[in-house]
Amino acid sequence: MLSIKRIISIEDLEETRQEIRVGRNPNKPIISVCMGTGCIALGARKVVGAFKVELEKEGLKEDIEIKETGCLGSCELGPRVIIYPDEICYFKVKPEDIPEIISKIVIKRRVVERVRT
Amino acid sequence: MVRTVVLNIDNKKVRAKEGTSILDVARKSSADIPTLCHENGLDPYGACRICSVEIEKKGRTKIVAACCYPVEEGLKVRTKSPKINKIRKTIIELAAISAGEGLSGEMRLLASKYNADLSRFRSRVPTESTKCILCGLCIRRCIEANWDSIIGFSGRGVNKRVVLFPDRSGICSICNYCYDVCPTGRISSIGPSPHFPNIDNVIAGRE
Amino acid sequence: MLYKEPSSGKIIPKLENITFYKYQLRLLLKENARIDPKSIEDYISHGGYSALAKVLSEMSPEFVIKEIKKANLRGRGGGGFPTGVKWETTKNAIGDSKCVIVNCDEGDPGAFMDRSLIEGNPHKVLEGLIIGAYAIGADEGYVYVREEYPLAVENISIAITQAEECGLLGENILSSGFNFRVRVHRGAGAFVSGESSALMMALEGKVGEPRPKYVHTAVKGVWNKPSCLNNVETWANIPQIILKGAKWFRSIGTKGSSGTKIFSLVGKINNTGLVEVPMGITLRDLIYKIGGGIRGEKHFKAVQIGGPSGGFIPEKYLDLQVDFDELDKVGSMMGSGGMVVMDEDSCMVDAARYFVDFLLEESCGKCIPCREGLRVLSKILSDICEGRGKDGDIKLIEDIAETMGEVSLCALGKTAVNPILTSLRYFRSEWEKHIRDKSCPSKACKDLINYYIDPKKCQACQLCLRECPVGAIQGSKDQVHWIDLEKCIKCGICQEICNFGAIRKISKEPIPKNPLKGMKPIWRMEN
Repeated sequence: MLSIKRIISIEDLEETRQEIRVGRNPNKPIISVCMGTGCIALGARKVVGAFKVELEKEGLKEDIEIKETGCLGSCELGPRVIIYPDEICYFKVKPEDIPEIISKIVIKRRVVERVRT
Repeated sequence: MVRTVVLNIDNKKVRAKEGTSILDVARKSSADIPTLCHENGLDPYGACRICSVEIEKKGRTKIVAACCYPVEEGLKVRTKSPKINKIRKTIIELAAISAGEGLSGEMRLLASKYNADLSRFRSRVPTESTKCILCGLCIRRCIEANWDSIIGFSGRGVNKRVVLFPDRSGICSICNYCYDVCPTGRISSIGPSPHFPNIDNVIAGRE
Repeated sequence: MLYKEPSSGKIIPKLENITFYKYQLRLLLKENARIDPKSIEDYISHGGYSALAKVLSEMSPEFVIKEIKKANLRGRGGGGFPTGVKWETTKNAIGDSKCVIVNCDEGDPGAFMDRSLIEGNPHKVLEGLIIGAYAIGADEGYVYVREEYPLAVENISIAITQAEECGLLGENILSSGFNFRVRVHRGAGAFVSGESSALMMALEGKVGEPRPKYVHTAVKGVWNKPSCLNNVETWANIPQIILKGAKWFRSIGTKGSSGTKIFSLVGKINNTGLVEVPMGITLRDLIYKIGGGIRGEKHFKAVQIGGPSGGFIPEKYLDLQVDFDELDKVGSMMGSGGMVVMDEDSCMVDAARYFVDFLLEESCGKCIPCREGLRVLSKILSDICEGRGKDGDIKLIEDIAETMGEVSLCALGKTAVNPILTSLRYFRSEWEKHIRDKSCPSKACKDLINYYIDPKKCQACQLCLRECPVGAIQGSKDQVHWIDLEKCIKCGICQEICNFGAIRKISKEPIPKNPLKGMKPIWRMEN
């Protein structure tokens, strides 16, 4: 079900666009998880699930958004997660990594220095 | 209004209705272009490629299938040349790989005309002789005669074969048109040899 | 987790600094990480459908076509045909009903550019399609998605439904009077159905086989209607050309090829994946700057561009600027954008054989040159790779290639010989060694190589002995190991697991004798 109404004219389109933009906070952290075929094959669904569970647990559901997005192309390094608006990238993410990502990056806005290749 | 165009076939000026195929125009003006998968009255199919000719248009030369290419004003056509003849010879030798060497009909005539060595490629890829070059003439003629076909193609690439649809074999009126059009002699007056396999058997891997 | 640069080991947290992404120009792909493909709201918030609004309010169909022609957008599916010209031909063709088609058949092995575009941003492709339909005067659209892309089918179907619910598809779009509807059609598992005339046969419900195309499909296509078929990436380029103008688009790329191209850069390099770069980037930059150079201690040998219809490009052309015309000059083809990088361990004869075998499976079988030509080429190449090559094989291949290239019915047959011909052109000595000497210089062809344990390096640890799946290795903890060549199946596991680098492949060298019975490993003898 769409949340936007039927767009009848060009003015309608611009109005709808503004409405959508105004309703979004540009500083709200967004966790973008790739749900392209490559990352799904490498376990992206479990990663999304783990994020949802953790955010619920920490009471952060309203403060942080999870977005299931498209493929950027480095499928060998999947599952790929990007934290906006800072654009911090994580690759080969596993469900076990989620608590760490959330606690260290999102809450304290600190970059995780541990690297796993 | 279909207009008349003037073109050049083997250095001879010819007039024809715009949109007619090079093959039809050439044959009317007694230029000889060989064919294997063509039959007057049936839509051109373009599978054998042996009717390939050289054309020159706006200064550029290329090779096209005469049965399908529509004539245009100012077109220059060359129906034979050392390059074309070599290609035609190669096509017959390639067709012989699965068709085999014991062919009759148009195939045999063309093989002799172009000095084809039927074992040139066949010796490298020994396969069972099917006597079939998959020209589709039998199928197309059958559809044209019966508004539905008793035989058809099954499979892709080198697995392509002519097969029999058993639920439609009752329609066959033994008109023998398929025998009339077969260019290799696979279909004789008493039926195809070897038999067209039953499609159910082919799909199940039994034939 | 955080990105670690393979060559330097440096950690790079931010997207824009990661070398793989930094040198790209991601005009088409950049929104993929910000947009939920199942959300039209996301697309609209990022400026989506503003190109359509501009077209419907300010531009006539003729003006749109003029702009696309001026931009010099060329087909991204492989042919590189000027898109504006194709649109114009379709527009001018006679017919009350016309259609536009998105070709998402993407059959080249290893190519997944169209998949990422249509899975990640289906609305962008849809917007381009609607603009094209308006310019051409088409009332019907088809999106042909290959059977093997279920997620793409799902996402584009959802996008179409959302656009219909919003009024961006259907009757009287944005109150302009323009009507257009789109249907999704799933493929049935054939590479050849990606050929435009074959695809249209499939849309009509017939077997997806090509037909002679002397009357262009733009004039007579699906159900004999004027039909304009373009690749996914071509359609995805349209909205940005409309918004930023033809002049801007032309400023990117080269004189003959404007804009960016998405390549699927894979093979023996450090960074693999989809790369979107401006036309005219050199192969060297692609492979070394973006791709991070060759993996391990190896060296570049060749790059295969264009999939089964493309060719191999050797080291001497590393500074070639990648665009449609430059690639044609060296015997290759842009194709849909597949790029496989090869090192000294890749055999150029075996690589050509791979593509021939692929096309043999995928040929529709209608025309004699392609069907039979591929059959015999596959046999000859197997013979050569397995040590049965004969004198005269190369001449045979060249004759068949001439016939196939000139008279095959469709582009599959015509371009099938490009891999073989470029491999012969640039790596002929490898072919001659295979045929004359029955040897494989890259040591890749299994039938022409043997594995050998160097008794000077072997430490008799018995690891390979235990791991050998057929028990071909003889030895003990006091006996240097050796391989019984009669049993060896050349799987290579022993070489992979040896910690001392004692095992190597040999080809055509005389096989050394087995070590003497009771020969102990050297380090123990020295101690």
